[in-house]
Amino acid sequence: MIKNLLLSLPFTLLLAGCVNSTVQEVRSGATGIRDSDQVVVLGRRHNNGYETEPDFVSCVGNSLGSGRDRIAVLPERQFVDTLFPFFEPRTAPLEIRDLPSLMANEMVAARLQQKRIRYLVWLDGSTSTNDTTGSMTCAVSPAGGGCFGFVSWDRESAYEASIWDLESMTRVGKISTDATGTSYMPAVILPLPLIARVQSSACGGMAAQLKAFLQAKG
Amino acid sequence: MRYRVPSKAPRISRHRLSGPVLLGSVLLLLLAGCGTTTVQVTGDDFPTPIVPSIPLSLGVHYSEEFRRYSLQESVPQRGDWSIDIGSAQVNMLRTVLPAMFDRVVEVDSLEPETLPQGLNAILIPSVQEMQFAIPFQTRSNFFEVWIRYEMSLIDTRGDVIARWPVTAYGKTRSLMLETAEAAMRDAAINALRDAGAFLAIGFPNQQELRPWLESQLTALDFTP
Repeated sequence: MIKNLLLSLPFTLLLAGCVNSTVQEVRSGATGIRDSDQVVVLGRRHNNGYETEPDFVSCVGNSLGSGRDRIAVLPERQFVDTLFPFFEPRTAPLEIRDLPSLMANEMVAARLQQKRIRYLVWLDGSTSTNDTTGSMTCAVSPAGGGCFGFVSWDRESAYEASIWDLESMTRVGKISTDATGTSYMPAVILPLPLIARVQSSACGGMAAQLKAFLQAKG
Repeated sequence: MRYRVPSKAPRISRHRLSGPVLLGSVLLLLLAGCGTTTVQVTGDDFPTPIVPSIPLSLGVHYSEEFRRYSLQESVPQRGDWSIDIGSAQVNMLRTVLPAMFDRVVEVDSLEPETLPQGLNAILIPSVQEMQFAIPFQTRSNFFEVWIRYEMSLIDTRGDVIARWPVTAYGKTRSLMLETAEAAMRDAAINALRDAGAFLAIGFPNQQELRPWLESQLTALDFTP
């Protein structure tokens, strides 16, 4: 078993491209979370040119909700349906100053209270492919087929989390994460993808920082 | 070990393809890019809006055209599209309207003598325009749907109280393992949710409706 793992490790490392990532945090208020409190991770979807990917949002939510120091997380879809129609792309509060008027709605406040939502984490950003270089040719014939060439591409993830405390109705901080990586795909008969898991790295960095941020006392 | 000389005859010759089969295969390949992509949007799980119920009785009339609304459009190099949102938009309104009003009754006919007793008004939704875009057209990663509704509110004698537009927009990301039909269906559902949100939040504040709404609610001492 261990021998198999040791044998597969270099192969796995070979198949993964390199990723550079940075995480930055700006705190503007005290945090802390009780066992009964829940957190919601939401994606911004009001922009025309892009939207925060649902799989990135669920990745951060799942990471927050797992591990020994896990935090109770209400899934995004469940939250948006519970508070319909106030968190749709066109109706969701964009700024913290929009929150008091929304909380003044008794039905909204009651639902948030019922679900024990303490923090809203708004994720804004996306992952994009910037440069693709190289070329690859594939051919199929009755005698067989194959590919020949080399392709590489750069991917960049840039996300920002804005954390709203529903108790104090303030924005208590921002966390941003940037990750870049180059993936390669050489092909001699068979293509061999060496994928840089850029978005996954950004998700891991963001979730770890968020968890520490929310659980910090003070 | 003996080296085996590859046969010059291609392996395909073992499975002889007759002329019609070969021709049919080529035609199928050619037609694959020109077929009709049919998207049937059902949407039977719209969430119930949390809005205060207006203490009025509303009739709602879904015309046959509205119930069966379907957009047919041809996209150059991407074939024909058929997007059926008829049943989904009725489902959306069947979820949203009962949360907005104390009583909602569907009426098949608008003849005054056939209307149920006690209705304050009748709502008639209609689709004015629907458009869509696929990633091929916009060079983005998104499937998008726009719908422009006209809502007409009439009294029980058939006189128009107000008409106002409701616009809706929905988009969804194109995913690698998702079909174009599924992506377009999600975009249409998002557009219908947007319409429902706009209607639920906007109805009491709609400029065209305020005089009528205020006159109806004054006697009930209810402020929307």
